[in-house]
Amino acid sequence: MALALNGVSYSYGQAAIQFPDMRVAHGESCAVVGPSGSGKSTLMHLIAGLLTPASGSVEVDGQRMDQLPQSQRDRLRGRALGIVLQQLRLIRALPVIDNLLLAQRLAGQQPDRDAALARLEALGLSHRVKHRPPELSQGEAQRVAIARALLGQPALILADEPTSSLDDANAERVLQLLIDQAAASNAGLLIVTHDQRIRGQLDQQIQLGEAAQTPEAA
Amino acid sequence: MNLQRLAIANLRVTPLTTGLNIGLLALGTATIVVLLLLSHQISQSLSRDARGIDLVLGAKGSPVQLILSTVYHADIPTGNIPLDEAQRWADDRRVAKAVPLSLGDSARGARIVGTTRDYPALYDASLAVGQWWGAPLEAVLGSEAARTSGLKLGDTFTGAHGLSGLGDQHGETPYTVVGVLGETGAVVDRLILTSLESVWAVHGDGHGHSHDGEHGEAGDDHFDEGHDAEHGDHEHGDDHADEHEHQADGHDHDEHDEHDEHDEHDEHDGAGHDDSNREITAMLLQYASPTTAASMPRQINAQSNLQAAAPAFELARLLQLIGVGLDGLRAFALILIASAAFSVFGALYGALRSRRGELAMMRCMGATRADLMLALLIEGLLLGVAGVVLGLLVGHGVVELLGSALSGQQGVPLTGRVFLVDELILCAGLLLVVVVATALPAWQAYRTDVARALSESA
Repeated sequence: MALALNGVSYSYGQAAIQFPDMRVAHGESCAVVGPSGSGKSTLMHLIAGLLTPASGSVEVDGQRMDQLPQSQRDRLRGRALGIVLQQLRLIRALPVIDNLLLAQRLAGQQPDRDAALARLEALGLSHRVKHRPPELSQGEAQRVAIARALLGQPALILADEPTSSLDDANAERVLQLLIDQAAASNAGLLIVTHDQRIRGQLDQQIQLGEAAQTPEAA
Repeated sequence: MNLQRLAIANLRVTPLTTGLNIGLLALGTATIVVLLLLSHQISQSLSRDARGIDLVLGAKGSPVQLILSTVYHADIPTGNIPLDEAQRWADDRRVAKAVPLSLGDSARGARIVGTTRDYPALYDASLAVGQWWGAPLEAVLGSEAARTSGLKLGDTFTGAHGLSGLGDQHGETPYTVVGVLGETGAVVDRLILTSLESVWAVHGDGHGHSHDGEHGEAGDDHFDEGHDAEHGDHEHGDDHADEHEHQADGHDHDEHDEHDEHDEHDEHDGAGHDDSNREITAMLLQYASPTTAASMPRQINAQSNLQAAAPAFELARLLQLIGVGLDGLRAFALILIASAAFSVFGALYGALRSRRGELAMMRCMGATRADLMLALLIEGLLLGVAGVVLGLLVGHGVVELLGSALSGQQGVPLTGRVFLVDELILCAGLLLVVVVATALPAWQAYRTDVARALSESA
């Protein structure tokens, strides 16, 4: 199982959010949709181990993320998750290829230049290998971010609003790219979005919403 | 790809800020390095020149001037003193060694020093070629003097009255070069050495008149060096009678070794002088025991018309004077370094703020908190190392340039090609300052709230 959530809740001071249970297998895709404020980002951060749930369990690639100490969470996150954010946050100072190699290094892997180049070629970025992110178009940057997330062969690809800022054509292309690349790597894919266009395109869909926002004290 | 390369890349995308920081650090480092090198080499050189000289007897006047003129050959002499009076003190049982000096002439920019062989012995100077002076008007050149004057073994030259080389020439009494000394790094390198008798011969027998009279006739020739001193230097009577050579070397009359006797006979043969009116510029004394320092100078200053000045004491006073200037420069350099530290801090803090999102993303890619902190620390350290290394290069380069620009002119040989232990301490201190300046931004990076940073736009 790439991801399993059981009875997870998170509390912000007084307020608390109860998340639905979810399971995403390797090679399976899942959309988590909901309006702003429904806890989508919090869910992402819980899965990534950046936040700790008030209750319940978060299992990533068979390991209890919520029970690991900080440094081991970092390691699990680097190894098992490929994260694509709406803000791509490529390292501006580094050329595209080094952005990928740094990702491998930070994930605790031996940087593999050939693998990185192959990945870039697969995404049609061969001509951009030595360019720095500010020189890229939005679409190219998006593909670099996806290449970066996939390079470490993660168990789960975690994408936060990957399509929200794109027009229909580009949104469709990026979505397809994520689905294809996840399938090719046999990785689970979890897309967190309020973008209704994604509806119906993935294996599972989980709705976050008013129902999830239970104002019980934790 | 690693954190060092990331740090270098981050520094390279902001070349202006990076250059400013490195430049500021380098400027502060270079200033301190120059100060260290200069003060070290100056005091080392000054102490080396004064080695073995505990006390200088000379004419009354400024003690600093007496030391400068007779030990460092840098100022004009205070005047002349009667040899027999100086010899009285030289014969004192508390004195281990006494070296007479007679100054006042120069040739091709080098000062001519009438003395005994005890003088080069003070600096362990030995002959590179030729032989020691024997007969009057034989001269031995210091290595630097030989180089700058272009004189070689067997050449003849005439001394010029005064220390600037602009005085009237003693044309009738040319010196012959009989030897050249090896390099010692001390003041003797820049001098032309000869016997006391030579100086007396040039000024006494050669001219046949006293310098007082000469000054009256050709007053304009004596510009530049200070008239009073010139007067004092050269008031040699022309009726010097034979003087016993033993007076010149400060040993007891009964205790001559053979070679002394030989030398002095040579000198003796050449010039006949009268004991009573003989004058020298100064007598350098070495104590038999260090405790003498407490009593002898006071006794001389109180009981005679001579002035006794201790090089060590005057040197300390002089260095203290120089030190005041150096302290000002040092404070200036510290201000430079402090501003460099603030600048590094500001740059990294700015970088931290503008890269918050990137740092958070690095955490998403598996970087630990320590990785982020390390990334910033490396960046600061790179700035520090680059600034310090550049500063060291510039500092040493400046001193080396100074040394070659001043070579042969000033008493202190300067070189940028020495490395002091103090510089190692300086480098370590500077890097520590940089690390401290980096620590806060690095700590902030360590504490980055990733979940929040990721939610921020931009």
